[in-house]
Amino acid sequence: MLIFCPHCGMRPSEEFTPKGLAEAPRPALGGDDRPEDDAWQDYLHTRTNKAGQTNEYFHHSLGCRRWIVVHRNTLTHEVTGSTMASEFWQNQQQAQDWEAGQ
Amino acid sequence: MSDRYGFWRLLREGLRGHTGWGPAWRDPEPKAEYDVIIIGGGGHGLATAYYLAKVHGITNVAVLEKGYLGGGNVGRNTTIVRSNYLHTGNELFYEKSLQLWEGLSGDLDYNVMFSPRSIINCFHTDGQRDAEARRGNQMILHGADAVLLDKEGVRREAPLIDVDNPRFPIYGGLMQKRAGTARHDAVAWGFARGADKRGVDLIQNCEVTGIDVEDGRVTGVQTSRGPIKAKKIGMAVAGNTSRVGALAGLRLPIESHVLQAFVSEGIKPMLHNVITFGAGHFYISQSDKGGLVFGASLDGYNTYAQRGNLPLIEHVMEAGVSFVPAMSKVRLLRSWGGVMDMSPDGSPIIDKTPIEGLYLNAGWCYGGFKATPGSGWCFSHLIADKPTHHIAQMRLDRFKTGRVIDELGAGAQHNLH
Repeated sequence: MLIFCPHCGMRPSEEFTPKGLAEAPRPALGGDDRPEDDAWQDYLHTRTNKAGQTNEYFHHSLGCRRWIVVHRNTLTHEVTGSTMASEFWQNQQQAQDWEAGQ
Repeated sequence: MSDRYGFWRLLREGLRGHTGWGPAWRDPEPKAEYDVIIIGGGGHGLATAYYLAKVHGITNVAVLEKGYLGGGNVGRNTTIVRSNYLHTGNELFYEKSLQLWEGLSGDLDYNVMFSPRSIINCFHTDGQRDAEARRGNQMILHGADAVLLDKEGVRREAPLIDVDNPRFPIYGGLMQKRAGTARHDAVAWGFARGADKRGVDLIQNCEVTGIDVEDGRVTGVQTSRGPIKAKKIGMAVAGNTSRVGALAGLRLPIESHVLQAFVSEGIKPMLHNVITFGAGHFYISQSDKGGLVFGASLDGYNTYAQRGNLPLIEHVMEAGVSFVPAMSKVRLLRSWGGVMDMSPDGSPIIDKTPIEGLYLNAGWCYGGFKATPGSGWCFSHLIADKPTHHIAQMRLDRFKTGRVIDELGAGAQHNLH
């Protein structure tokens, strides 16, 4: 399996460490607005776990060491794109488009 | 005598040219309503139906299976049966399951070929030895059996293992003598036949396409063979838990991953135990047909594809040849992948759901096969409103409350277990 890294280009999957599905943004920390337990539960544990197009965290641990979100199909293993994890949640629209299967 | 399997029956059929064997179970049309519906005709679903009928006398039960009976992970595993767990939440349950295995062939009147040939978990460091000694003590405290072997003990049990491996020398191993292997298909078929004989309807080619929920409680299911009503529905669909749960609006703590397994060509007996290599997460046994059956870890990424990739296969072969160098002469016959229901802490979930009447049996990671009778036993008790202490900690909300059963101590991440 080849995975596209936005920084390094197409690389073999052995260079990457998968870290699970990117389905919920990390809840905000600090102040009086501490996130509810449910938000953490959602972020850490529960998953929609779709069969089909998904977004998944990978760490390019044997490459540029950046965190990326890879857009993959869990039925065919086809990789259709990826983005820097730091930019993924900032661009909710893009995430929603991907959810819609574009 | 009639339809029991045994010597006299075999003799009679042998003399009649084997013309008297009928189908082992019926192929009924679904009724409009049942007391209990079990979704999933694999090992766990069939075992649940069997114990519901046998132990609780609840026989108005349907098992709905989208394909054919035993066509999922119960037909795709490496058939290891053991109860060598550290934590009470797991060990109580798996020891109960192992005790059921020990009497299963007689109970089912079906030879499941349970072969208690022992399991040995090898260790390579002082730290690992301490951990295994602690685990062995925990097992004994919970009524199981365990023996701590030294290096010579491992060599005596399995002479073909390279205990002097320079990179990962084997210091010894934790042995459970009552552990072993079983014939995986026979387990599904035995439970199916036993459940059918007691009046359970086993309905194949019947995919559940919807779960009806009214005012927070289940009322029935929609299927490819029409709607079926029931006040109690049990889900035993490991591998597809998230997809079936979504039909009832549940979002569950499960990710689907692939675990690959391998079988070599058949060779003369060379390994009589189940043995694991602590350094490579590699495990191996030899089947009755002579093939070496082995595997290692998850590929690591999410998938429903029932197949893995080559890098992991390379890793498994490297670990295998390091552990049993003679394996390098053996040719690989086939490999396959099964979809694992990975929970965040690597332990299963048998619990009620927030929807009344909907029961969940999920998160088996890669330990589902050995759990088959125990899972059916405990799940049937839960559905019959008589929950047992074996599953007291296997709660759905344990990730939120923090009461996880993290056998590996790896933290709440699905693909690490």
